[in-house]
Amino acid sequence: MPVIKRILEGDSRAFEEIVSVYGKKVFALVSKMVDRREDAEDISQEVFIRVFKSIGMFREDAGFSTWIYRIAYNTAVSELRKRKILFIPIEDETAESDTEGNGDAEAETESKLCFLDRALKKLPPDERFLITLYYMEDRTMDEISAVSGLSPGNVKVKMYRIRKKLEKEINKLMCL
Amino acid sequence: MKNNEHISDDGLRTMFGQMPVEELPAGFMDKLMMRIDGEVRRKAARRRWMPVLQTAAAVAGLIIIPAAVMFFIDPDFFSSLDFSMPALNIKLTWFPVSVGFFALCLLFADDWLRRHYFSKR
Repeated sequence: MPVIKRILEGDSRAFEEIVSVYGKKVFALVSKMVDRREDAEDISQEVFIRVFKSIGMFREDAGFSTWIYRIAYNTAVSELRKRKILFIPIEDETAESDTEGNGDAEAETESKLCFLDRALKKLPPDERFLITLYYMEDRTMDEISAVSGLSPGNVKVKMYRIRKKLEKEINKLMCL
Repeated sequence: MKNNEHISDDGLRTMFGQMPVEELPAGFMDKLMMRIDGEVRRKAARRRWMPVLQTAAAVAGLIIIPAAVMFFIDPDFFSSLDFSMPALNIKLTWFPVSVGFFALCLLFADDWLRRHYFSKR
């Protein structure tokens, strides 16, 4: 990749190109794992610092985006552990719809998204990351396997379980 | 199901697709580039000091290892040494000192040649 070559030759400004392409994506993935936006920003910055430090180790046999997501996943998991950000699933009692009573389609979509957001918060951070990668970034099982370091078989089982959990939670919230 | 195949799904994909796109916080790029610049400076400083530190460590090793060997062979070796000036016992110390000095000269010459060669390139 020419950008990587330029960075390795000492043009650190070329790194801006990488951040402009992957910044939003990494931030979106990380912010699904943590609740505070400030934490998501700090962790995303840490991800890009690690990408910059280890860019010389990137081998072109794997996709660049997969490589970045792998760093993002590992950094986010280790930072959460380091910062002692605990995973506390939200209780059902708090799951009241804010848009209750609005009958139009927009309000319905909004409430569905709200349910999805709440259901996501009930998942452990690493599972949130993987399911977001799967649905929002449209990654295949093999790519998710490369990102998480799990075997493709394990990923398939894990994704199936996460999906079932999410569906169950959303249905539960919709019935309330 | 093949590994590259997506799990057949329904509303979840649509719902994820409808989720609002996260915008980067204000000043994210500037803060990051400042940290990157700091990292570049640290790397340059490391590159400048590393050969000196490596040389110093190598020389220290070359002096300490023979001394430790001598101490292992004869624990009274150092107590028997007479370091009082001006009567330095050169017979006993010339060998490790000269080896260390020679190694130091070689390492500095190597460092100088490398710098000279790379600066020309």
